[in-house]
Amino acid sequence: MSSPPDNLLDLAKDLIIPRRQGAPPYALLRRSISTAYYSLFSLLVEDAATEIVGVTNDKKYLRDYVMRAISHKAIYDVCKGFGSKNLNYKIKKLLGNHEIPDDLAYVAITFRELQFLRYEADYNYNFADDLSDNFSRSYVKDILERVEKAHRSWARVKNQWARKVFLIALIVDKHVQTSG
Amino acid sequence: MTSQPAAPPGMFTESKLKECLGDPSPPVDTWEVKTGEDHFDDPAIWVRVVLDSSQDLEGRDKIHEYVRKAIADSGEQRWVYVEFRTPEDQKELAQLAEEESREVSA
Repeated sequence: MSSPPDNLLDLAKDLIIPRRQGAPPYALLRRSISTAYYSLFSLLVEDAATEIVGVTNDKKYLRDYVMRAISHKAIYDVCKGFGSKNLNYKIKKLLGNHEIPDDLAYVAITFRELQFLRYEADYNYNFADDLSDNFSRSYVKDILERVEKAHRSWARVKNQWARKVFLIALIVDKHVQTSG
Repeated sequence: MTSQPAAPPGMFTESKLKECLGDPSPPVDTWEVKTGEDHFDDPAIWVRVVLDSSQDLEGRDKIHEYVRKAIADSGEQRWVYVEFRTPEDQKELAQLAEEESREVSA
């Protein structure tokens, strides 16, 4: 059975399949970007909650509770450090001698870029006069390929220490006090 | 994105950033660089890579990595958003624009 993040990615791909001759309506392309973003967002928040709470069925509501605490901005902030491999002191210390795997950096970069695109897709409704500021079907298809690769990259870092630090940082980093 | 005409202290101008990328060579036709603030109001850089032909994901990822590294190596701290555009993409957009205007006028 596919997981909810995989289902969202499938849906994002389905949305850009031409339903009649010509390009799909612009709204579907925007919806596809947004859905792809949520596929990656769900993947990360679900795994972060599981990392903290555990995986068993009796903890489902507790996991949901933790998932609700993770904001888009928190992931954006943490992805900046992991994507550029330029971490703040707190996180660097937690990583110790462990490196950030390229696969994890790929996920962080993809997430941050996709979040910006999702913002454009969801809040910038107008078809721009400058054509190259808009989404075409092939442009969205290329984005979805990258998101799909990010899902695979995420699966490959499963047992790595840097992944654990990344997931916990999504929940706690903004709350950690540097002094006092 | 909000465009800014001049770079704040410690940040490169758009033309300087373009210089960091070097002269484009196939399959890259043009680098288009913009600076401004992103959706969370953080200063950011956008690099639009105009390709002369479609590239597979591996090819695009290599260029993506090159762009981010070239700018990071210059000492820039701003986040770099990279996107790709192709001639096919532009053709589709022209078709889409026509479709959109038909729907608006209907």
